Amino acid sequence: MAQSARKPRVTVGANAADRARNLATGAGLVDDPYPKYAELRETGPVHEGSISGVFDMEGPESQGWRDRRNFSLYDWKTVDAMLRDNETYSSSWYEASLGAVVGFSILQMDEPEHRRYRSLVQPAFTRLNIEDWRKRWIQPAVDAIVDGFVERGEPVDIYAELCAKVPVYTIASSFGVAAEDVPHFHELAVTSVGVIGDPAGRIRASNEIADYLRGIIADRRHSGTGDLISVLCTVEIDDPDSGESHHLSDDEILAFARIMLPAGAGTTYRGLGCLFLGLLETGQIDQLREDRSLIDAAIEESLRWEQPLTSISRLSTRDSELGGVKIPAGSVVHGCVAAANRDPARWDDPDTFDIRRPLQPHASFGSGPHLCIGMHLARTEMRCAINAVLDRMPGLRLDPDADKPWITGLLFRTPTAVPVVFDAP
Amino acid sequence: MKIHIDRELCMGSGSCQFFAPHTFDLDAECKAVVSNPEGDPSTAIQSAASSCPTRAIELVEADG
Ligand code: HEM
Ligand code: SF4
Repeated sequence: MAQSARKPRVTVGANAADRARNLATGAGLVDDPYPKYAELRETGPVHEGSISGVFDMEGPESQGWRDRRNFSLYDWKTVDAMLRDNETYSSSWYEASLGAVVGFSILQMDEPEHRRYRSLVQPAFTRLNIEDWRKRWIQPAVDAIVDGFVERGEPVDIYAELCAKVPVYTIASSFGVAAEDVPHFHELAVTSVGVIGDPAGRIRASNEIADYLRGIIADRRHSGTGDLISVLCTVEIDDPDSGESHHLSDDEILAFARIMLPAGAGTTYRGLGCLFLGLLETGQIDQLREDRSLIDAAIEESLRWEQPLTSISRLSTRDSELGGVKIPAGSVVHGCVAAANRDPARWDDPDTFDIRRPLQPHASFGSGPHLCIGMHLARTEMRCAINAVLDRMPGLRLDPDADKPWITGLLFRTPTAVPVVFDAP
Repeated sequence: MKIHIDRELCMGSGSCQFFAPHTFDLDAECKAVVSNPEGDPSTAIQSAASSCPTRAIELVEADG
């Protein structure tokens, strides 16, 4: 990315690639984009130009499509309407970003192909199935991770030590990755999804993951073990032309498995971090201690308030109009989820993090046919992590001796850290 | 309130089930079904319907 001369206030990330990626997406450069979004919503809701352009950056959302006209949407109604109309606004936008690293995937498909693939993998992600995931993979992973630092009894940054690990460990176990390989897998996963830096290194990491997964697929073709790869080996797809059905090929399984890391790891990681920081900073964690039934609402409110992914982009396939602005065919259209989630027409006092707010859908998992397939999984991981912390870390509070953390970033929102102390259990 | 689900449109996302868990369920084909039309407060059922990614849920007021 052509970075402006501004110096970041802070660098955040799990390793060098992650730090580079965070910087490219505005971490440490843009702390509070919301007043600007409010202004754009009021004077829009649709403006020509990219979202990062508003902040004098050239972010990944317009990269790869520089020669096109860009339009950005800043209110709930327009963002939701755009995402639901996936005939006019095509997901082929991903071709230039994620597609270049992980290959063609469900995220990038348009109808009717998308619907066919989605219906194959959807059954593995129902709430009922995710409850099974919780017992088999999520809970054991969370317990093992929390054991590690609770026993030390020292101040700990739960953003790095807990939030970063839960999603990757969950996905890795669901693939059947052996426990001793998980840390290396984590490192590869983080490197493979970097947006800048050495593209060859990114592709190398991604290929190493692919090789590892190919081994697992070959194995599961012989004997299923009930993990996600086994399930994907057994599903059948109908060919619309011949009417015959066939199994997913190795490459098709691989394409889906590879998308799960970029789609499901960094997102849940940041979402968990913002949840913990929001609860600890406002003291609302005490309400959860007294009444655990508030946890689901707290998770949704935190996803609304600080969404892990702040915009979703598409390519327009034909001339259209959004919010009174003409969008020519071939334009790049960015739905600003972060602005939609704080639209005062939908939420009272939208800038306040309030876990007792009446529950209604936010845009953090997207909208329309590409609505996040991992949403029940992400919610379950977050619920498990927060329950574990409440159970195992009595008196949890922000570490008064650590640097004060904050949430930062433009395309992604991420806490700088979540440093905590707790009483001996 | 009457709840109609268009099975052709339903893509089995389970979003309705999240917002109104005592009203919606998924059947063996991964399609939404109504388990109890009054299982949740009407605001929750409205959230469920508005969250549906394919607008497969239609709500009809009983005497409207
Ligand atoms: C809090 C955590 C998460 C957030 C905020 C999030 C956000 C999103 C968003 C906004 C989309 C729609 C993208 C688009 O329309 O272009 C999406 C799709 C997707 N997500 Fe998530 N996600 C999260 C967790 C997960 C997890 C844990 C998985 C693991 C399986 C996952 C897998 C996917 C996949 C495969 C898609 C593509 C679905 C499709 O194209 O039909 N996500 N996610
Ligand atoms: S929200 Fe809509 S698509 Fe999803 S399960 Fe319910 S009816 Fe089906």
